[in-house]
Amino acid sequence: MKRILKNITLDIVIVIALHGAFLPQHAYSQQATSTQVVTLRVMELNKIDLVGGPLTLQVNSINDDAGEPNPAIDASTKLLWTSNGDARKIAVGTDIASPRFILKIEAEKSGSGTGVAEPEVTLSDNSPHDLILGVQRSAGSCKLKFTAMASVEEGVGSESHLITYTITGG
Amino acid sequence: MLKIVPLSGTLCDGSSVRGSKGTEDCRNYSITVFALLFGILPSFGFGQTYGSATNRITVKVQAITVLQISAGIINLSITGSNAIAGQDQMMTTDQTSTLAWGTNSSTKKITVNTSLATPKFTLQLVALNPTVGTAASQVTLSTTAADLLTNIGRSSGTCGLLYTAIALASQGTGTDAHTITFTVATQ
Repeated sequence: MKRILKNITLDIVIVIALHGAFLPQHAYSQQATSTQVVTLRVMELNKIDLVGGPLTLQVNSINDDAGEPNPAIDASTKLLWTSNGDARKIAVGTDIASPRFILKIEAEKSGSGTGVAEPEVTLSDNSPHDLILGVQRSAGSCKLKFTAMASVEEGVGSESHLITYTITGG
Repeated sequence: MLKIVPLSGTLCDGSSVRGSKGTEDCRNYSITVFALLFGILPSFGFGQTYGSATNRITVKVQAITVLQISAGIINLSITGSNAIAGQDQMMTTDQTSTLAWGTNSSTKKITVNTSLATPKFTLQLVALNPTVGTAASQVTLSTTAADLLTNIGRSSGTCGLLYTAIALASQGTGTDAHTITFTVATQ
């Protein structure tokens, strides 16, 4: 009798174990749908880049009428930016605190995107100067016009500027 | 020399050397022999039928559909590394999850839709390298179910899931939380 009871108990345990093992799968197998949570976050981003290599501006001619050297001009560089932020601006600066010769820069805004070009900026110190204002949630581009000037009194020489463009709040 | 042994009795006498379980073993043996006599021998030896019974077994296989996704949560982020200066469109992708299915019904397909009625950004999905069935072209997710895989009838298979998230700079920043539902549907 004891043994029979023991066998019955064992059978019950096995049945429960099988039930526990297969019932969830059986129930799951009836599902015809399944879900997945996908969260997409778009962070604020600001990208700025240049198209065009290092520039060399050579002041090597004189205006006969004025008696001063003619400025050297280059407009081969293109500035590109993308920003999904609001009320941004692009500033420009040089690493030379007190340049010997005059270097000017102007954004010639002919490309796409938001933003308004500021008047020509003279890079007279190493502080940042506004180049384009009103950049907002857009991708854009513009040409950069550099003008180098030197007076006769300044003589000859060479200056190497490292120009930095920055998108900032504005 | 042939020794005729009673079906029960003599062998049961051995119970004395089997310890306390002898009596029970003896009973089991007797039942076994009894069963042999009335279960097997009649069919070969006597050829008589004293009764019969039939048992009809019906096996029913229900329509079974299994659908499982390897990852319940996917996080996509568009950051500065996903942007190129001068381009309005930014994108990122994820293909870390897979979809597994099994169905014993023919003419089935898998559709997909999102719970988000008005997403700010674009979320696309395509099935990669399905082991069975035909992957539909890339789907832009909406609340309307769109085909992800077709012709998966009576099969089990897997495929990769490639999500592509697209945002425009003009759309600004933000978060879209989708609950993506995959459904096995009749094709």
